Amino acid sequence: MKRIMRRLKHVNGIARYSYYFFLVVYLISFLLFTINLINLSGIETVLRIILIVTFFFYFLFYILYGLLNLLTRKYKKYILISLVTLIFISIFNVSSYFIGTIYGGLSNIFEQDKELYTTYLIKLKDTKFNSEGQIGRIDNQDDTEGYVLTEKLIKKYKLKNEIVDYSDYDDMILNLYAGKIAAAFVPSNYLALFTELDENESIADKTTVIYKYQEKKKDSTGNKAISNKDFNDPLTFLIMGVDSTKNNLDPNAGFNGDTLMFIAFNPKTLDSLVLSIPRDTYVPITCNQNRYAKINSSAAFGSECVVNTVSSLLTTDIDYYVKVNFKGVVNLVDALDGIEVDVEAPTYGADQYNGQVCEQNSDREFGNKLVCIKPGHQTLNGEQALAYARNRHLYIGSDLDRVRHQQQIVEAVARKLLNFATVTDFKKIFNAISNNIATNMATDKILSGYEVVKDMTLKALNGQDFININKATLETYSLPVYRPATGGYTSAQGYYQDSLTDIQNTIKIYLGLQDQETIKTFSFSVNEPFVEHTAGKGLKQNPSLELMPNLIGSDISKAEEFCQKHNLTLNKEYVNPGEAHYNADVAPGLIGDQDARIGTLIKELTSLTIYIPNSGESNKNSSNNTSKEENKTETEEDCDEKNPDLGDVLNLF
Amino acid sequence: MKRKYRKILAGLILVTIILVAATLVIRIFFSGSKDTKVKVLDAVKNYDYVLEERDTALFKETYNHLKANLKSKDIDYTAYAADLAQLFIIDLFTIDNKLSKYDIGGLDYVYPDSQDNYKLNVENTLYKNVEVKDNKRNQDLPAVTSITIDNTEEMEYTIGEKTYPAYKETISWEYKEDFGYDNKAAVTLIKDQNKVYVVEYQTIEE
Repeated sequence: MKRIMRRLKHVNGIARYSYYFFLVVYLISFLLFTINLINLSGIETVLRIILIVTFFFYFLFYILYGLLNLLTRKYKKYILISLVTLIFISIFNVSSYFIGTIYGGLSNIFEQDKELYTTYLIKLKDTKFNSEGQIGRIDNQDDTEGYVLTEKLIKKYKLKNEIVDYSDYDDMILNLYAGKIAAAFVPSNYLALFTELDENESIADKTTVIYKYQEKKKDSTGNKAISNKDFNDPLTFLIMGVDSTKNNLDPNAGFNGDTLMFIAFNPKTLDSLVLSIPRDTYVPITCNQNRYAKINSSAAFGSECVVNTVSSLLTTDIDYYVKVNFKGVVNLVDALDGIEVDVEAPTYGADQYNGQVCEQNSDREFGNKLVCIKPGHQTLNGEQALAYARNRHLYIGSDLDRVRHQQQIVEAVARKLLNFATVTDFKKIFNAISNNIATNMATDKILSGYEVVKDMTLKALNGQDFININKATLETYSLPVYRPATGGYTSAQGYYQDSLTDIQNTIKIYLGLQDQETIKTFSFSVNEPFVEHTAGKGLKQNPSLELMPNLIGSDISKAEEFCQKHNLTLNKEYVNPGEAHYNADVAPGLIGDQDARIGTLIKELTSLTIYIPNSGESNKNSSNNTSKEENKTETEEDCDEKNPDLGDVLNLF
Repeated sequence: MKRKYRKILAGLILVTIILVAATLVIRIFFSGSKDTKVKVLDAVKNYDYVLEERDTALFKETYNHLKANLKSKDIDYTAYAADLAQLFIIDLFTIDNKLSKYDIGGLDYVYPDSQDNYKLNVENTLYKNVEVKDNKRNQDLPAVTSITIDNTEEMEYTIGEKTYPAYKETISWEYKEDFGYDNKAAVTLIKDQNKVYVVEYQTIEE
């Protein structure tokens, strides 16, 4: 060794130092390259090992052969081998850059364990806030932003105001608008969540922030959806739309619930089931004591609440969620150079835009920034795709049509994604995706999808079918629920239980949790085209929720029948002229009034009190009083708790 | 001289190693764990009927019989229809050689305008549970081993406003192992210009 070093000193200085330089640079580049390759766990393992071993042996070869040529003064050969080494160094650096970009991008979309929670105290603009005004707050003590942080804010700013408890954010905000409360505590995503409560003005324009309190902490609900599954097993995903006008997705961005899509994917059969859940579907919100509300309102309690609410509805575990920024849709579709979609013609107010589908742009701007699309099969750019996916006002089905259009967009994007051809395309697409989505799927789990994606890509390139996307449809019906807090009605959607059951069973089949009977017979005719079964579609029996009907003017027996059917206690009160609930428009002996308002959810009732106008005869009065007292004794507690008379409205829940 | 040869030899060895390594890399990258292509052994010119490497002996025998008929100057259309119906059944119900649920048997013999709907039908019925063919596939999938034409009836068949001469073949067949799949059916084929197509399949309960 000493002899070699001595002889090396006699070699041309430039050649000698360049030799050292290439050795060091090659070693560093090779190590970086190796680390990046190791990060790609599960991807082409044999190939990675071959590359690492080959380049390692080349390194040894360069040490020996380079040294030999230097010592024997064969500078031409030395230059040649050094050029080859330089090429390899470049390959290492370029590869490391791309692999690092991909891995970094994938790591970025993984939502961190600790999140930044924020609570805001807001008031209406042009109103004064002082210690005498009431502040509305959600009465759920598990809600970090709606309750837990509010206690800290109150303490920090030494607020002495009376706190009014609400079970529902919508009720609270509407009461704020109506001036019934002076201020309200709202979660960080309130701007997106309550934007449609007033059609004329957004919450951002109507309100202003008084105080704000922030804290970074681990998810406190204990409901974080963490799965150990990867793409070797059937998986479920919940796609949640985030309405952000920024180009990137804020890691703590609030989901506003316009897009809620459930996907079950089986990598063995390459089957996927896609279910869009209408945002107004009325369901028990799991993290709000299972109180019934529109499913999108679960977003106010965080992503985990949305996941758990949907999981409870579909009776299936949701392995991972994916938040998608709407702006990201624009970037992604443009990166794909557009997608092929058959745009449906408007079915409501078609004349408004001369038969076109028009919607605000991705920055929520109207006027000359409106995006308009003609109906028919065409290539949509990013803004057009987003506009089509968002629009509901021009379709009779409203949100139901909107979810169908969103599925069209998802399908079109999925098919186009597997046809990208160049590295440049891939980078654009990857950037569009990684900057605009967030998920709780860890990077190594995402990488496990490599084999599936590769298989699908190769099939697509060979012109074969590579994925089967099946849609499920949850049949719904209009459910105008009476809201005691506001005295108004909310336009919710109830679902048919038969439709939901069919979907639940289909999901289980896709996930391999339920055996699907193998079909061993077949029929085919060119004159009778086959119609594919869509899970849940057309099944409109057994509505999930019923509302209190109008019994006024009906016979008492109808109320008895109704209460027996719904297992409610019936209280009959006979009232005289001049007394409360007396209805002079109804004949004596018929139902003049009812305590439960028309449109109240029957599920939330345990009893019903009907008021029957008296004819004024004494014996009827005495028997009425007896029954009234009897009933009162039986149901006193219920009446006290559930009486929805004015003044007790806020105590209803 | 010796030195020159040594240099040439070293160069050749180096080039060979590089080529082998590159080939290995490309093969590994593109091979995947699932088959994506099927090798075609033979084709009947002008008819798009193919014989693939994976086809069974029964299929090959029937294919060769059909090919011989189609190559003759006077094509016997009755025999053509009978052979095509048999090929249709064998290909459709031999599922154990299919790559996935999307690798639909019998598709080449179906009336062209209905091929998409036929594909949708098979993917959602007979082939619905067929997994991707790899080392992990462990399903009871049938393979047809014998087939017989029980009856042939000449008739007419209408599609839309057009009527075609047609053949109704009553066929029965057997499997390597009986898993309960259809084993008797009526297959209707039409003759459109010089080609025959399958337009109907109706199972016959025994």
